[in-house]
Amino acid sequence: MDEHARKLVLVLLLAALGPLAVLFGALFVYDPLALYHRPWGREATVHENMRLQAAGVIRHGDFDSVILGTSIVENSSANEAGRILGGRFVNLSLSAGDFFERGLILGYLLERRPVRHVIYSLDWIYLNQRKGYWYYPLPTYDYLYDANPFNDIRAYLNAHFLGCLLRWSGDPACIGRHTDLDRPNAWMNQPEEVARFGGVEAWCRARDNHQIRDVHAKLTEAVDAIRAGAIAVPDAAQTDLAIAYIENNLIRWVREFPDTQFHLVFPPYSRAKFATWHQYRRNDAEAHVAVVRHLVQLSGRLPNLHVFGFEDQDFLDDLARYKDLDHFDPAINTLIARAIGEGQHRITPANVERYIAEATRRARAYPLEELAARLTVCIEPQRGGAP
Amino acid sequence: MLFNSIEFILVFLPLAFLVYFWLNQKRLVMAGKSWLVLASLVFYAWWNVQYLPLILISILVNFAVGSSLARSVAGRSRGPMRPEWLLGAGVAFNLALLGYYKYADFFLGNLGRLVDSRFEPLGIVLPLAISFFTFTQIAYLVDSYRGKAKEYDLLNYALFVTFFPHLIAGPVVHHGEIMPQFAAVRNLARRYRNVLLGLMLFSVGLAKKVLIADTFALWATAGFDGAEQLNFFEAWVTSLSYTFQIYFDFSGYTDMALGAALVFNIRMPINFNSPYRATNIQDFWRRWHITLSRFLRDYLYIPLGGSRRGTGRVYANVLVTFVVGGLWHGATWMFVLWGGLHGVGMVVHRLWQGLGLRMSPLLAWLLTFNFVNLTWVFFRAETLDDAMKVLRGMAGLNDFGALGAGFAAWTGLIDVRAEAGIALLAALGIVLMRGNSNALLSAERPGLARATGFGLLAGVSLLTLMASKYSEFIYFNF
Repeated sequence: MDEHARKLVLVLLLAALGPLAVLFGALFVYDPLALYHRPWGREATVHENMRLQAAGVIRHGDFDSVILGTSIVENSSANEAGRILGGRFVNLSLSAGDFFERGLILGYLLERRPVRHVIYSLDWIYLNQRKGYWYYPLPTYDYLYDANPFNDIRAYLNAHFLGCLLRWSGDPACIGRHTDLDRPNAWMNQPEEVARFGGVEAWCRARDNHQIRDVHAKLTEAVDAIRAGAIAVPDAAQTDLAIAYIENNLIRWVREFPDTQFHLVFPPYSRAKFATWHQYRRNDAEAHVAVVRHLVQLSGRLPNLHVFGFEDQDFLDDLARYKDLDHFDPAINTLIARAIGEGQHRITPANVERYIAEATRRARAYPLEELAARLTVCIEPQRGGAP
Repeated sequence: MLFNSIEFILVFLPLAFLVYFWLNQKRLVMAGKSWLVLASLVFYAWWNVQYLPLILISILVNFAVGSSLARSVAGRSRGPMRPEWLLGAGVAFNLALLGYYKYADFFLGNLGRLVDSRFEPLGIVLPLAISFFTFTQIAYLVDSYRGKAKEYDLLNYALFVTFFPHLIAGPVVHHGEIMPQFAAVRNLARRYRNVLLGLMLFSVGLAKKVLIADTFALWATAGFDGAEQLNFFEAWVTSLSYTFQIYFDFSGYTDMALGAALVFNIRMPINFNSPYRATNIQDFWRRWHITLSRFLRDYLYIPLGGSRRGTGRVYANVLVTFVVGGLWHGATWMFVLWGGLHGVGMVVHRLWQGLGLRMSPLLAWLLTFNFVNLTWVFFRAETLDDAMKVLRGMAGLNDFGALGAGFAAWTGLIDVRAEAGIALLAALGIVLMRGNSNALLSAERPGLARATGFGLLAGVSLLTLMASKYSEFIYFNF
């Protein structure tokens, strides 16, 4: 009886674990995100979901420097950065990646391999201190960046990748499209994005685009509030939280890895964007200025920290170079890379107050009402465009 | 560590099993028991190592009191204290521990409201399993006092309390149910029939938890926590989803506990016996969380006088027992209300019986099931307002929704589709028609087909447990 039961125990375990072992084995071989090994029997590719893909690149990619930002630097060329700064760069920027998410990846990267340079965009997310983007819930990928390699298989245990496995698919949705990491998620070649460069007229032609509608909504809100005298008041707590957020998710790595050069770039958003802060969202303007000041002061003490800003430049006023209030044309990505290489537009303890004063002056003088009215004419003609 | 975690299933349980029986095979029985205690403490501390000293102190104190009681009752020694005082002190120690860790903030909050003042909450984090190991040890002390338990070996006692299958969520076991089995020589060797039945039971429990309870949890959570208002059908989907979630969750967990214990040749008492088939509330409590009901009956209801001191006193005893039972589940007024409602239900049932009235079995079942379903609303809701939101919807006081338009329309608000309706019907079918998992324990001779079937069930559950979500890329705002 016990011998019979023993055989049945083996049958049960085999039935439970056998198919799983076969499945895991197949997934290990297929390995679309190169989590376990460089691709076998196919060209190396990069999946567009960088939150998932970055783990594979960090483990098996050939590089020593990284661009780690958001869509703001997705158009930045890693090859160009390498030529300017020296080193083999990859662009691992996360669409809508906040500091917390990037902190996961940055920490994992720095602890796994030596890194010479990190180019990091200081996007405005420190104003709301977001920890995880709702569209990519943290539990769907954060396990790739912990110390446990066994749970990484979870990345493939969903209908999407299991379907890919069943078809042993080479489809870009399964294994990725791009074959290099120069700028794998660049959006500058997408016609619907590029069509919005050219100024307000181009924005008007794309009036049904959600980003343009968002621009219009934000400008209208700002103008209405300014007119009603409902200006947001500075909030010291927000400033403290913003600084703590950057400290916890970025500066701790700067301190811990003194041999890595960190080039932190305040993105040159359109002047209109900064104007909404300085003229309406004074709390955001205050926090932003405090963050600039804080990081620049830190750069005086941390030799591997370099801070760059462009708010004192004229090109921020040229809306033709923006497809919305935030995103700029690729030539500005090149300008940023060159600035880092040549040490231009670097904010230092010596010039920070002058920089802030100039940035503030320009933002406060920007004609927000006029821009809002021009957009209203084409987006909401029934309102007549009258401010 | 949870039973439904990969680390438990693929690492902890196999390792605990293999090392224990290897040590026994080498005739290192003490080492085997020590290994199980150590493994159980790791299992416990996996959640938060900070509370390990608490359970160790609790074990030491209860062992000291219990063994003194046993010696005293057996006439082997006369301690400095009379046995009944010693028992009282031991029970008071356990209740004080439970009171401090579980009820102190609740008490302070209510005291503050009573005297119109604000007391700073102590901010105590509830130690894992304190309710269970406290009740288990109170039962042990009483059993020692009554001469039913004699334990003079600290290692054995520690094994009794910490044995990981029952440590976290029961069943609430008696010393006499477990320790003689550990002492039996024939249980020191691997017995593959027990291993097989244990794994089958564990597989069923895992499937109940992962495949069924977690599915209903999505809908219950959406309705209770997400929606601001529920129409008639949404409210019923919400409440029924929770009714099935809690059953499949807890009974699944118990199946896993019983299965894991059986692998070690230990048979633990059953805790569920198809409770949703009950045709009255007394019947329900004989089938739901059986070991807790037994504890409350033996150590609260009967000491209060049970049914021996007149009708009025019986009803009062019933009410007190159920209110305490409610409070045991958690330190909120919602649990008290839930317990109180069940107490009232039990009193009404006794009155009905006393009057000699009868009811058709179908109507009796319908009434009992709906009473249980309604009262779960209070158990699950965070606040009375949340409970009333669901109950108002169930009563049709909000709109009825567009049933005629199909399931999708009436479930839109809580993001469920036709599958919620189908799943609820399927779950009802399972709890009413299918044999319950206790039958597995008496299975005569499981065959190849059953072993394969249970194995596949475990495999699918494991896969579901490990599965992740995939988010398509959408360019949004950045």
